[in-house]
Amino acid sequence: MAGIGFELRKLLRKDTLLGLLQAYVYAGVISSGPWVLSIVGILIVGALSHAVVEPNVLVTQFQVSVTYLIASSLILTGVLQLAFTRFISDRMFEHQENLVFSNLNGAFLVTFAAAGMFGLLCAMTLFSGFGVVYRILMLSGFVMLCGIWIATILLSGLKRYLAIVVLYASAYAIVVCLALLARPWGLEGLLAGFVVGQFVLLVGVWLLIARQFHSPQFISFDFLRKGVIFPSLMVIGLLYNLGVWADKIMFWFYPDTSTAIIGPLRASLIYDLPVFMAYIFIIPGMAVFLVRIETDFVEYYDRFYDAVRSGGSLTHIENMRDEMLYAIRQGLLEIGKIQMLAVLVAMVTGPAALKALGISELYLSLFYIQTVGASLQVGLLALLNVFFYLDQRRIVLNLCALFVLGNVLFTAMTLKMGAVWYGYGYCAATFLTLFVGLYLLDHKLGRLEYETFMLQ
Amino acid sequence: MSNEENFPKAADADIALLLESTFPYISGGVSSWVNQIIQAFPEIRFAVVFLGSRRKDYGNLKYALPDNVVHVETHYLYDDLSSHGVDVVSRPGDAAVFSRVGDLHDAFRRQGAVDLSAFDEVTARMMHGRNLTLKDFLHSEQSWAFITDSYRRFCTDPSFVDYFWTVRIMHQPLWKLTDIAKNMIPVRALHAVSTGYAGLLGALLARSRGLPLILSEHGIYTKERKIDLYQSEWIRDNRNPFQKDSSELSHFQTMWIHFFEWLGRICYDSADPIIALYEKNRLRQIEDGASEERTCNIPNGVNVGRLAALRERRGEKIPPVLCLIGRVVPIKDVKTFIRAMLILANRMPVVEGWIAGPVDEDPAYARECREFAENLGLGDRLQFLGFQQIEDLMPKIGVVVLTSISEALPLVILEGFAAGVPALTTDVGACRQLVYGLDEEDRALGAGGRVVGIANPEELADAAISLLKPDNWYAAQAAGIARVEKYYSDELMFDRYRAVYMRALNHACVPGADFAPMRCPFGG
Amino acid sequence: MLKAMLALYALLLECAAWGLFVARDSASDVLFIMFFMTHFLASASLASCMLLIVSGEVKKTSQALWALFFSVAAFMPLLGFVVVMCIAFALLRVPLFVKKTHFSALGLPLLDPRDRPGEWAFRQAGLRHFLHNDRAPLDQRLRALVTLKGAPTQCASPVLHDLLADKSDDLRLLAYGMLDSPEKRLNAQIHKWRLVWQKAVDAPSRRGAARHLSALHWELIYQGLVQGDLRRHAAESALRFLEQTPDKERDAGLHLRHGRLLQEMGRIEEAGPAYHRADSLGLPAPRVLPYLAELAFARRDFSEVLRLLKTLRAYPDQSRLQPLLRFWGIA
Repeated sequence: MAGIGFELRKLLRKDTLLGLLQAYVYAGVISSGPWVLSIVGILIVGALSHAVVEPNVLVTQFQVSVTYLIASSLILTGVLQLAFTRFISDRMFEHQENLVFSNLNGAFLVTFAAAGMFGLLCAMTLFSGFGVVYRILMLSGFVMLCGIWIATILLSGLKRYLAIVVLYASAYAIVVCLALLARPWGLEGLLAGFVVGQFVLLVGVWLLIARQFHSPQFISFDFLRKGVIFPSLMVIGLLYNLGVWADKIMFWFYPDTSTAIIGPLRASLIYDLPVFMAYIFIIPGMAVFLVRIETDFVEYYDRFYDAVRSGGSLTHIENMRDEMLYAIRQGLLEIGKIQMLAVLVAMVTGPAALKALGISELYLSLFYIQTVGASLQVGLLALLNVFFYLDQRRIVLNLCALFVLGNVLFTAMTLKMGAVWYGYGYCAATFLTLFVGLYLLDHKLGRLEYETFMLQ
Repeated sequence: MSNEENFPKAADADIALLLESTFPYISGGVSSWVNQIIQAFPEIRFAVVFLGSRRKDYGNLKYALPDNVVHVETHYLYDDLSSHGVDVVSRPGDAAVFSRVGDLHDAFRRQGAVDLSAFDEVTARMMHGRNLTLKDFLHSEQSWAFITDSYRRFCTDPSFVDYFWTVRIMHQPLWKLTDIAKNMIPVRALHAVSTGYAGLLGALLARSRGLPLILSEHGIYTKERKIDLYQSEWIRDNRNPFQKDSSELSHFQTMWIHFFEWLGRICYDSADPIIALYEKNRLRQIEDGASEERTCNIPNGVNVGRLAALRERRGEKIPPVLCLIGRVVPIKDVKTFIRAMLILANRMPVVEGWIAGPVDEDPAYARECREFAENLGLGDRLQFLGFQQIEDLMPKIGVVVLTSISEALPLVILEGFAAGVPALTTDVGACRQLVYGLDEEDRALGAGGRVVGIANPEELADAAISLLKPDNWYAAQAAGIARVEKYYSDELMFDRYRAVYMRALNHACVPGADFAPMRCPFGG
Repeated sequence: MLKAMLALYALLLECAAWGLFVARDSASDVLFIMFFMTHFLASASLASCMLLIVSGEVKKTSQALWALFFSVAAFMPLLGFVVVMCIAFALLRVPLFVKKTHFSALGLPLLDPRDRPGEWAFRQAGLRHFLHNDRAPLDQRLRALVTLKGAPTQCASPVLHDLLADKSDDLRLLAYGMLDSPEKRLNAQIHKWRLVWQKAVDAPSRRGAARHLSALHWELIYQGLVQGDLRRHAAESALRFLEQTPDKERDAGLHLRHGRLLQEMGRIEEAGPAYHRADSLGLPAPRVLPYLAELAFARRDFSEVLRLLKTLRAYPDQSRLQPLLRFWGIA
């Protein structure tokens, strides 16, 4: 399949500044599209509703509800995300495309059933006494998001980035429009707009996959068979999402930094907004990551294994290994450079942005350190991706565990140490994990041929 | 009795027969010879060690085990070559040990005399798991360094993956052999019936336990492996025209050839006596590294008395039947026989061709032969009889035919002579000696048939026509009978082997005896 | 009937579920539980109805399918309901499961000279002499022999045949192996096509097989893999199959081979017309004329030979024929 790398290389070949810029913009949009669109969409809905929806706390309640839906669904489906994508790409490698669609439906059933039960349980216990419509909307939104994550990661595994971005863009356009129309109905109205948008997105990705892949069966569960599913990937998926959210969750439930928003849902007004803003500043890093990993690295990765399989000379194999290493180094270096710039931009624009959002300038340093942390997370993402390519699941598992542990530990420490240190915990955890990961990568790649040949 | 669990087991034995892919699973010349030898010495307790490639390559036992075979063990060198991979972890490996392995390989690469001290040290480590276990070879970093270094220095084929797997497949069975050597029951002497893996096992046992090793070589093992390798199409050659010196064999072919040459070398170095079937092979052994004073010839022999009875059962007329007796395998070049039958079909239509021998050893080749005969439209003039008893077959046929491209000293020719059937053979191995005689006195007995060039159906057909003329035929029959009675009776062979065995067993009785070279009991 | 009833139930129950909101306080847990109980019943009816609608292979996994429909309808109230109905419609109307074929992009093949069969023209005389020199070191002779692997079989075969009588075992065996494998391949092909020929039911496929068989037998002769009686047998077979070949009238190449076979069998008078037919069907003259000249030579008609060869001069770049033309004093 002509993947994204192919498209990008076409753009890069133009060899002009404009072409280069085009390539990076394109990569930036497709790599960070889904979550940037989500954040921007939710922020827009909030900003536009402030004047209309009374009281204002309803808007906050809406934003917090959606944030919780996203966080919990990501963590829950983390169990299946990677394992399922791996199953699909293995089948694609074996040219068993006809298993894709039926297994997606199987994965949907598993996800819907698990998420539905879990959601229903929460709605009955945690949200006892709340409006039934709110509860129904939360349940639907939760189940849909779970389905969407599974389908999205499947599509990105298949390198259908552009389709993802288009679908997300239209879905969030619907969210914004419907939410604006439904403003008069308050929290339920906004939430209904969000849910309908997600629904359109879910149906969209489903139809996209149904159109491309045809299965003789409508539903099957091959991905759950023993020996086909990788338990380590299930753990990794869970740990990674936990790691990303751990510090946020801790801030939500630490009394000094949070307030109750709606029922059991708490939020940290001082922490959340800087964090989400910081994530917007990693778009350039994601773009570089996509360009470097999907074009340069993958090219040499393919050549390396091609040389191994089809009888290349040892020198050639080693050269390809070196080129691979070089591409990774270059990629990480470039991510570092571009994110340095992004952090500088964040520092320049930070004060104005915070003022516009009505946040005290006291939290400026938190915003800066979060931007640094998020930038490091891009590097970590790139690194984990490389390890996935090399099929080093054990290392990824350990790194993710370290990430979770570090994030929880350091965040707890910063919470104790006081407001000046907020954000440093997350930053330190990503830094530590990235550092350890880089060390392991160096070690791993140095003996890649040895391990490829001798450990079989 | 095909069940391996029913094999006899004993705590010790007198002589261990080291057999590679022959008796008791494969029928053929060497296997019959082994059977003959075992039965000739009922007073000796034999242990049989059978080495095969993979269990599934062999069917049931082809021979009933004589009573004096007190112990049988079977090992398959290429079974479960890739059944590891479960708990594969990287290990460092011992640099000093691998440098000794390097010394050993350097010694192999040098021409001329060999110092096998490195061999003894390395194999002792392999045998007793001292820093050179199979896992060290398969997974250690030192091993990787060694393999890549050798690849860079010596490999002329670009494909590293092919080199890697050639090295692995070549060396992995060696650990099985050291295991077998370590665990074998105590014996007083060793008798290897070929070089190759069996010969290497003999060398390992002889050197580690200080036992005398007798080597009887029928064909020349290294030569036969070379034939396989020359004809093999499974070995890859990845050189492109710019890299290729077209006068060189593929590097992997060369690697295998060197490997088998060295198996032979090591065995020759450890064996005494080194027994060939006939002079040409003895010279070849010396050329391949055997020291001359240890070599000698003991030709095969047949039970003339028993076979002579078959002459009585022959009819008045000479049956116009040419019979190729032997396994249907490529080395027998059955196709040349089939081609000759096509020529004879035009020139002497009464002649029939029979192929008597098992077809199960190389079913693909057997099918090829049948298809070939079909393509030529030979019909009933050519028949595949499958395995036949010599006693039933001999009285019905006119000429024993051998079209082999390689032979040693084929028993069937002797059996044919004893049963009064002349032979028509290709000029390979000792065939010329059997048909025309060796020395002056032998030659005076006359020709027991005809010898023709290999893969030459025209000549074969002409010779058959000439041999089937009654005058020629009766003369050949008489010469054949006279020759086999005088030179190739089994009593003669047994006497010689009795002396060999007694020497080895007596030598072994002397405790602490140094491994001094014994003189071969017979001159060339 | 059952379908319609289940659908009706589903609709009614779902309406009832939403209807509960009218009567009840919209924030009570009782309403929540009642709503979901009614809604689940509606979803179950809908899922069952769906199972009846879908047919064919989809049915094999009916339990899982029911569960999927149910969970979609149940856990995404209203919207899920709608989408399940849409799926039902899609399954009924749209051939979702019909395999469409797409063109897929292929990368450009890399130039890999390894795959090109080596065909080098070199003088065989020196090699031949060297190979026959049994005083030369065996190693070098073996290497020389291996070189022949790069030569076309028709050039290598005569040399290899000679070597079968060599004194050295190794040399003999290598030569044997090198002769055996191309012949083996051809014979396997012959056998395959022979079976096709025997089993063919209709005339065209039988004639097609005969065409292949004829070509394969000719190849045995051309590559010099058969001698003497076997060569004659191959020629006879090739001729026999050629005569069963279709479209002979229009295929110049077949006429050429026909002529070559007849000439091979010594039927010189018949070979001439076959060559002329090939010529008149448009085969380039340089491919036919040398054979006509050969026929003339066999008839001892030397002036004709000269005349034919002279006409060859009109065709440039006949490098392989140059020595011949020179011999006849034409070039």
